Amino acid sequence: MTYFSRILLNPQRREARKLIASPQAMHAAVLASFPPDSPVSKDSRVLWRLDIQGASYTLYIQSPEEPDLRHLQESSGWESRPGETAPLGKLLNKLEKGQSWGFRFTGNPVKSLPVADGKRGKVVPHVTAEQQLGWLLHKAEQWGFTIAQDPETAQPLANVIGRNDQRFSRRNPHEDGALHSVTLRQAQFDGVLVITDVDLFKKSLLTGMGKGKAYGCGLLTLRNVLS
Amino acid sequence: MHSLLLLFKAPLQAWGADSRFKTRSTNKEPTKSGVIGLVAAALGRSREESVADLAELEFAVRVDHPGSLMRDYHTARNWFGNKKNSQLSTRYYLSDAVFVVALSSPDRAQLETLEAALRRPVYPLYLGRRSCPANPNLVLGIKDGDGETVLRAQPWFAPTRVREQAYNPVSLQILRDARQGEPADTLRDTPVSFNPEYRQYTLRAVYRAEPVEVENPNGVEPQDDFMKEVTEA
Repeated sequence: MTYFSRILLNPQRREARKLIASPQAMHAAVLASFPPDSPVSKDSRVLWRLDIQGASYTLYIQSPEEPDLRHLQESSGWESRPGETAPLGKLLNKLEKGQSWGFRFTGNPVKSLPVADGKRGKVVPHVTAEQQLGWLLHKAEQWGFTIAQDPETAQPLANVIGRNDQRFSRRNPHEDGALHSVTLRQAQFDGVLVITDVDLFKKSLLTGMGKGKAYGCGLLTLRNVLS
Repeated sequence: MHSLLLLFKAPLQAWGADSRFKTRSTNKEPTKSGVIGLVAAALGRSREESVADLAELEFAVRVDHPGSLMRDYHTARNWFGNKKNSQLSTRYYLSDAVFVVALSSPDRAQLETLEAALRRPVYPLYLGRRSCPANPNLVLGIKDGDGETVLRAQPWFAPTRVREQAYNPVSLQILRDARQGEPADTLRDTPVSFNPEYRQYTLRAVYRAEPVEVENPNGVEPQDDFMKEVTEA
């Protein structure tokens, strides 16, 4: 069972500002919506995304277990707007090959530079909007969909609607907690996708796409293609 | 306690509290020094005259619409002199912002003098910078009560376009002079002297009051396409 939730954050509140400013704090707050014995599974994981439109801050959470959003609402939400949760299963069952869906997706577009001996090289970010869109077009195939094309101009129907560099420091558990600075380049995409492989697409939806899943990347949300 | 209410709703405003030299910033809300300068201009005071009586007024702002930050790459050149070099500066403005400001004092007569002066100003009025002329409906009038209380009772002054895009209800930020013991930010915007040879400002403690909730009947119910698709599937 997978659940989809949303909650509006109130940016006037100190705690909400902290969460909006720090993906690490937000990650911790999201995980605190689940009991400590929440089962860990390979097929599905907790994903979240923060959508900022004008003064409205919407946090979406997709999770294998139903979240308890009361603490988030108490510390950073609106008294009059409780979080909403609904099971995702029905929407998943509706998905079929060939369908078109409007989507929004925040990803961490990176590539690894080639090195000798077929090893994985240094991971570097895609920087420009063109590169980032190119990354999505290239990756879509591995995730079970393609980006729809405009019938007239043959341009892909997807846009980078927001770009954001997050910088924070993180303790590395493998190096005795040494502090490392992390740069996370995020790109948000809006567009229309066409499902090419339903099973693969569902799997990608549930496990998240690309890197940075703990820090607000990897969650793809669907909406009616007309809206 | 009485409060004189002013509405700041001109296309451009600029409220710098700490800018020096060639980068002229703006704060996100009106500064006390800027507003007192505006009142002093209305009274026809020269820059050398004292503003101590005005600096004693209590100051509070409500943010009705934050507006957006505009950056102006500004060049100025003396076309009549020999110097060919342009003077460059970067100026920041708030565009389309709307604020309600309260100046409070126990002395109602003092506020009435200020109100009369603002309605028939001696010098032209500007919202923080010479290039930002004040709106004609600047003065809202004098109300009984301290600044924060009076601001809470005011209707929302945002333009229709903003109302229609906002949710219902909306919450508006209120910032005011801090009282003893309140947690506060400090801002160097209490004017001591506007004398161009000896400009001086002292610190002011600013308290962020609990935001006020205002009904917005034109507002949209938060409609969420992504959530709708999941719940109605």
